[in-house]
Amino acid sequence: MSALIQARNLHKCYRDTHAVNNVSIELHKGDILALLGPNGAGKSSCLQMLCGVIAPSAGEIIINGEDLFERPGQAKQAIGYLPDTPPLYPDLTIEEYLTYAARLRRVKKNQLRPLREQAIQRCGLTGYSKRLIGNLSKGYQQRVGIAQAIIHQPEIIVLDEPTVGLDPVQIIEIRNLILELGQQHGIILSTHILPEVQAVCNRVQMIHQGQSVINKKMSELKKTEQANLRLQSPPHLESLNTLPGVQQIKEISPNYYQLTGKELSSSLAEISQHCVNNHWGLLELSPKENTLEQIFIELTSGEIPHAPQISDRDAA
Amino acid sequence: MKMLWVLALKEIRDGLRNRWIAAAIILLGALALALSLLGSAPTGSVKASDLDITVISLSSLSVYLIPLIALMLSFDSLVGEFERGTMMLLLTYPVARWQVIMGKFLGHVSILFIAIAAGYGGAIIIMTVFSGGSLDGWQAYVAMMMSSIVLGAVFIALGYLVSVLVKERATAAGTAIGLWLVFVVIYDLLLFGALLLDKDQLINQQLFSVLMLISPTDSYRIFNLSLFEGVSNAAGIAGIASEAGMSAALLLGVMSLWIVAPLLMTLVIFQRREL
Repeated sequence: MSALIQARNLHKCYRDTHAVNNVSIELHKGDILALLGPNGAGKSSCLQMLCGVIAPSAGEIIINGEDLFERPGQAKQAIGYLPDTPPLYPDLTIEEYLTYAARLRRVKKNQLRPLREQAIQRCGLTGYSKRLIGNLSKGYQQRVGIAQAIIHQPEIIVLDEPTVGLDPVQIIEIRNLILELGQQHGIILSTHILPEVQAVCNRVQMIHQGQSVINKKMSELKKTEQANLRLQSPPHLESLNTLPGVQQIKEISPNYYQLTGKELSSSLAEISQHCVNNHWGLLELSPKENTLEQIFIELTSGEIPHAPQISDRDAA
Repeated sequence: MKMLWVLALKEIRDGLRNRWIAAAIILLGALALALSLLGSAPTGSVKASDLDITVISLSSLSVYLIPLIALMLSFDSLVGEFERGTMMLLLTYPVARWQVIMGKFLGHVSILFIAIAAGYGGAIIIMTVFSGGSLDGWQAYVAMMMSSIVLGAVFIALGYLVSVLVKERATAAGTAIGLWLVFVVIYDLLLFGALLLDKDQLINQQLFSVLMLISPTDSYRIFNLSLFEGVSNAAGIAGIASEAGMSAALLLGVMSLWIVAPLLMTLVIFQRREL
């Protein structure tokens, strides 16, 4: 299946700052990709490059098979974008604004009304369409922002902090909407709310200091990579190193160890068998699940060695 | 072209909703009516038509008013959208940057066209009814209306240039007022000051004409006051433009340059601007 977004080796330089450094992003239909990273990591620059607002200093972006720089009109047609605080026109009614957005999205005249009504209905705005946007609450303005992003039924939806400032009920509604949209579209979701990522996303890409530090499926991320082992009569530490699938062993306290390995979850049965066969007195073998929060903190707390700088001139 | 109209219609709708168009129509219409009623007194003595006298008074006032209205329409049209973040969202749509500028320009010029056509046009209809159907001098009046739209377009384009150059709306507002003062008041004062100080008569008629032509507001004044016989006779400047070699085409050409140059500069700066 061809990718909806293929962004390769993106760089973005602002004078002295290398804001995005060799980041590649791929999105397929059905993906809900979380773009994570601390403030200033380069997430927004990545999103703005993908949406064609800013040009990368180097790299290539293919949107739904169209080169964003060679055929920007066609490429942008496949994207719907919701910025963090939805910049709307307060003097327009919801209906007027969505009509304006649809026309700019080149929606055909005979499709305009049904698509507008569909967007209004999907975003829970039924009954509000004649209201001025400026008179709406933040939650409803957020819905209008999402409605303008989906009105032309794009293949790709980019949502930047879609639940910021919403109350818990609204957050759940927006999350459900994202899940629903994710069945038919590819979604990129930029957020700081990690439980939200775990609730709705199936892929995670983390950006730190302008570089991509992790790009995995959520299921892979959740795989156990650590386990705790307690033995009654343990052998020497060197002997424990021979345990299948184990790459590193750390003694936490006497007879109690922390095992680390890349595919440790698939080796747990073998490890327990190995302990039993060697009469080490297996008392405990408990997998330790990695939370997204732990991973986020681990990956974003350290400095990343910087790659050679690329200036705009070099990139051009 | 369709995209330009979508963007233009949005500006026109904003103009209607914000009562901009209504205010401009009332202002221009009221001025035209007041000037035509008050200014018709000397028509008997100078043998000029009511409309000729009205053109003289109105063009003298329009030179102040139209640039002000145009700058107020345009000064924040780009910087305001940058500040609100709507420009960034707009650029994620399949719309080219030049279309954004030209769409806004089309919309704002349309607003001005509606205001001038309804304000000045409505006034001429009322005047015609009051004067018993006399339309003597209507050509000068229509030319004044058309050139007012061109003058407005000049200052809309200048407003965009200001709007793309600055980072805040407040700065744009200040700069727009400064621009208005320079083109409408200060430039002419400096010109006449230079003439008064020029005892060696270094500024000959040709140079003076060129200096007048540089200013779009002076081009507008000369166009309206000297190209039509009835008006120029009544204004007391008959033959001045033709003696100085200023044809209607040249004067309109100069004003058109004042539209094209700022628009092109705005487009180039906007194309290169990082949001």
